[in-house]
Amino acid sequence: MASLTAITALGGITAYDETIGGIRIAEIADTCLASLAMRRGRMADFEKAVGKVLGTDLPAPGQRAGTDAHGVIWMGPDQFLVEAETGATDLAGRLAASFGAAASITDQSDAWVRFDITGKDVPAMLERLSAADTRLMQGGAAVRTPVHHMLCVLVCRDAYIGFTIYGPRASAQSLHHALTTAAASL
Amino acid sequence: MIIEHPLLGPRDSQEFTCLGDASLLQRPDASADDAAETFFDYQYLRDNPAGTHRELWYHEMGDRSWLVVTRDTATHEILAVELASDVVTAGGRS
Repeated sequence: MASLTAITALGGITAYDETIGGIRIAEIADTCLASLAMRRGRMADFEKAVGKVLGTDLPAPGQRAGTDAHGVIWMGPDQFLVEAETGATDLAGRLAASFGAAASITDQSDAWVRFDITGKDVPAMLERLSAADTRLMQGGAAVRTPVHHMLCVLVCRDAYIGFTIYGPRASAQSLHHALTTAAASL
Repeated sequence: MIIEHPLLGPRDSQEFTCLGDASLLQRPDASADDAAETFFDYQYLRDNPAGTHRELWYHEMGDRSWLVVTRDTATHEILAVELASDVVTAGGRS
């Protein structure tokens, strides 16, 4: 079998990680993602499976719920993005086996690029890129909104100082350019 | 312009795209005898009111939900925003 080398969304062998001014921008390359959409009329089964498999309640609109192992981000009515931290594999397969016919599930791991942005005033940077009111976001808030004209998911891990951005993987370089330019302009 | 999303609160109108008249939600019965006529009306004929108007808006750069926005075309005031799925369900369809 051919010996293949995995590359990150930005095309590197190792994940990009840079501190510009007071802002650290780190590409997180090993998050497992899956889209979880409830099928019509299956709310009871669906909620039960979320509690059992992911150990959490469903998040309210504009929120992320969950633990360090699994996060569930509200993406739209009856639709969620599940994130599993480092080391997880085949998240979509495991979810499909657990949810049965209560949900439609697709693997999203290679559809997004994830940047974790930390610093002492991250909203000062994000307000240059997005209309989202990042100064009001508390830990656990998650909003799907344009960032530099690309539809991204902004997740607040820690108010003011820690955010995650999921952006379209095909636009990873563009998003990276936007983030580094905004950080450098502070 | 700010649209008050029923689930997400106030969101900038640049996140939305407008499809047009909300009458598109009332698709005629294709098996009715007068289907050709009612589909002609449905497809091509629109009211163009100077005043209150109901429109379908899509939250494309957001949660991808469809909304019915009631808007005054003369003043641009937004009078009501509902989820299109709720409007359809309230009208008796599943």
